[in-house]
Amino acid sequence: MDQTPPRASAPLERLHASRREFLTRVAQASAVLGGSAIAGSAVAQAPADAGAGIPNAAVLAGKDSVLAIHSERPLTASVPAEHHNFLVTPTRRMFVRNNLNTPELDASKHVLTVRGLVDRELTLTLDDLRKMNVWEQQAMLECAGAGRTAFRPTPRGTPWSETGGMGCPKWTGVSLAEILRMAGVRNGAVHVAFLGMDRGPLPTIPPVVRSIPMAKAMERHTMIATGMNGETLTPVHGAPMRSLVPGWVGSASIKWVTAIEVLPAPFKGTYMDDSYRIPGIPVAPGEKMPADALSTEDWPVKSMITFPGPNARYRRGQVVPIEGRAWVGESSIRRVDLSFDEGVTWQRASLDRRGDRYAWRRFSLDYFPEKSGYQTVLARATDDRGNAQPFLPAWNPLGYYWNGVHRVGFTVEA
Amino acid sequence: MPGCSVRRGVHAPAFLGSMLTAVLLASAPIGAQAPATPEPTLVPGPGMELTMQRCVICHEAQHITRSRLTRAEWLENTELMIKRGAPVAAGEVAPIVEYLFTYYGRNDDGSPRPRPAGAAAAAAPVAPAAGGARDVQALLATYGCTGCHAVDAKLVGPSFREVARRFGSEAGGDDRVARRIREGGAGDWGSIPMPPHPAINDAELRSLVAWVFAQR
Ligand code: HEC
Ligand code: HEC
Repeated sequence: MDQTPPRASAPLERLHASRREFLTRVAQASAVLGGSAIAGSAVAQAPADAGAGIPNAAVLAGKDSVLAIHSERPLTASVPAEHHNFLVTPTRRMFVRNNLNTPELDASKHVLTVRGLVDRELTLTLDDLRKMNVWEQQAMLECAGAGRTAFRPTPRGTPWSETGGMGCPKWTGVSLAEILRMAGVRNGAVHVAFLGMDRGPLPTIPPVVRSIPMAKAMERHTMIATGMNGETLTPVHGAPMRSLVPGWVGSASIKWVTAIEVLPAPFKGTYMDDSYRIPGIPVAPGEKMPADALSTEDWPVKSMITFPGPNARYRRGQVVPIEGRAWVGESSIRRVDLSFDEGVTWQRASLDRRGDRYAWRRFSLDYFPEKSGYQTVLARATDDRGNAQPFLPAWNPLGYYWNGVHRVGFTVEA
Repeated sequence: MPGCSVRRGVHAPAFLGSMLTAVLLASAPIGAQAPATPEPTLVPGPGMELTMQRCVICHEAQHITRSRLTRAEWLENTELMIKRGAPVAAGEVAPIVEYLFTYYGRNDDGSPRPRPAGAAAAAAPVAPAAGGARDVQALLATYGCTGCHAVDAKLVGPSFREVARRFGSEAGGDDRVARRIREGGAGDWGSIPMPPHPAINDAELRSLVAWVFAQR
């Protein structure tokens, strides 16, 4: 990072004029963002030198080599189902989904501001949070576009594999509700927005801001997390603090959170209005997103087979121990059925006891193949509202909510 | 990162494995050098340079190369990128969308569009090439250099001052830097490519290099 202070040479003055142009554009962009304080202050905080943040090589040194990298700028990476056969997703295998660079933040200087429709504005440090009710939960975090490459035609955006782009680690933190109660939410509060500290290479890039409805913000599992799997958050997962909106699309959970703003309406900005939206009624590929498209929120019911991996080989007479995970955003898993004949008949798998509210559930079944040769297993989960996974989820322009039935093939040798 | 010759961005485990090895072997602090292997670029064709200059700033060309979109979708995507901060002027949207649809297009029925034969056809000029050397600030603005460079701060590319310090007093430094501006390239300051600027004429190039070297 070049930290040299600006010199007052004539050309620099003029170059600054062009930087001013940028800033004017940023101001225009924030006008588009609704001119809300959160956007304005984000711009004020944007560093003059965006720098490159923490290099990917340093981030990836903390990750397992089975993590597939989907893009390097911004960094996105995840493991497919066969590398995800853990009850709790290890930090080294948790997916990475950056919008911009991985910022390097000083935990001792970081502050979280709470403002907007509140009685008292708060400025909280990491130490302040540690003095509140810190608790732990296992909870799903899944990118809205997880599984995107299974859609045909494949929409643009991070090419997550069919079972990539999600994970279920343990999170430590403080309920957002406790923080909001401390600030005192005023009448007329409708949404709560989070602002992240990540920045990109140009000052014109709008900061990452998303907002969620008040009811979800006050639900006790929504937290400001400071730890993952019993350790302090690693930089790429949002250190020193991040929001965690379990069961909802990952974009609702903002890493490196530095401001929370209570708003009288949903936040207006590119991460709300241009992304993370899905048509209420399917549209043809190539058609524009309809103006009344909905904001993505909770994940529909989904499952994956974590064992065996693709193309495993078994001997005749050997048991095939099928194992997987099933989850759903705002309901619970009622059952998981497996099919060994491409969906003609189904057998009920056994489900482990329910753990934390937003954690996935393990399912399993010991299968005794009666014939040899190549065979497949399909998994289909059903939630408590009676929704079952479809074979082919509705196509949508940005490729969100892939929850198609997962199939794995294996071979039984004679 | 010397010795890391694997093509970047191609794919996962093997690539990552070697990158990690490289990190472990390198005794210098990890952040000191970025991997020197260049990122893949766009296929050549009319509008390629302009698209590189405007679009390969915040993310790799891969975001584009892995997409196959209809004309309407590319237009929508380009408008979205402008909202996300891409420095694209109003008159540049049409040539960029034309390029993207021609080389990374999909028909309305979902089938991929075949690329035109002779993809390496002459590149469209970025801006009407002007006569003699002109005001450098105007050149920087016309060619969009300030989208990626500042005098004192590293943005996408190195600060002009850093460039001046590194090459300003080196024999042949001016030729080298001039070539880099016109032909583009990557690997000397990081892995992000500097796009080519074939429309810059010799006089403009000389003024730009002289000005860059004066920023020490
Ligand atoms: C100012 C930064 C910036 C510039 C310049 C930029 N983009 Fe993007 N682009 C983004 C961001 C931010 C995303 C979303 C990243 C993500 O979702 O991973 C994105 C994503 C994309 C995607 C993936 C699809 C999607 O919606 O996520 C494509 C394709 C794309 N950009 C094409 C382009 C093209 C074409 C241009 C030039 C007109 C361009 N970009 C210039 C910031 C930029
Ligand atoms: C899309 C972003 C982008 C644009 C636009 C851009 N550059 Fe660059 N530039 C870069 C990057 C990245 C590098 C570093 C390349 C490398 O690592 O070798 C670079 C390198 C350079 C260098 C160092 C050359 C050397 O010999 O190492 C100079 C000088 C330079 N750019 C000038 C310019 C000028 C003048 C313009 C406008 C005509 C321009 N750049 C436009 C991204 C850009």
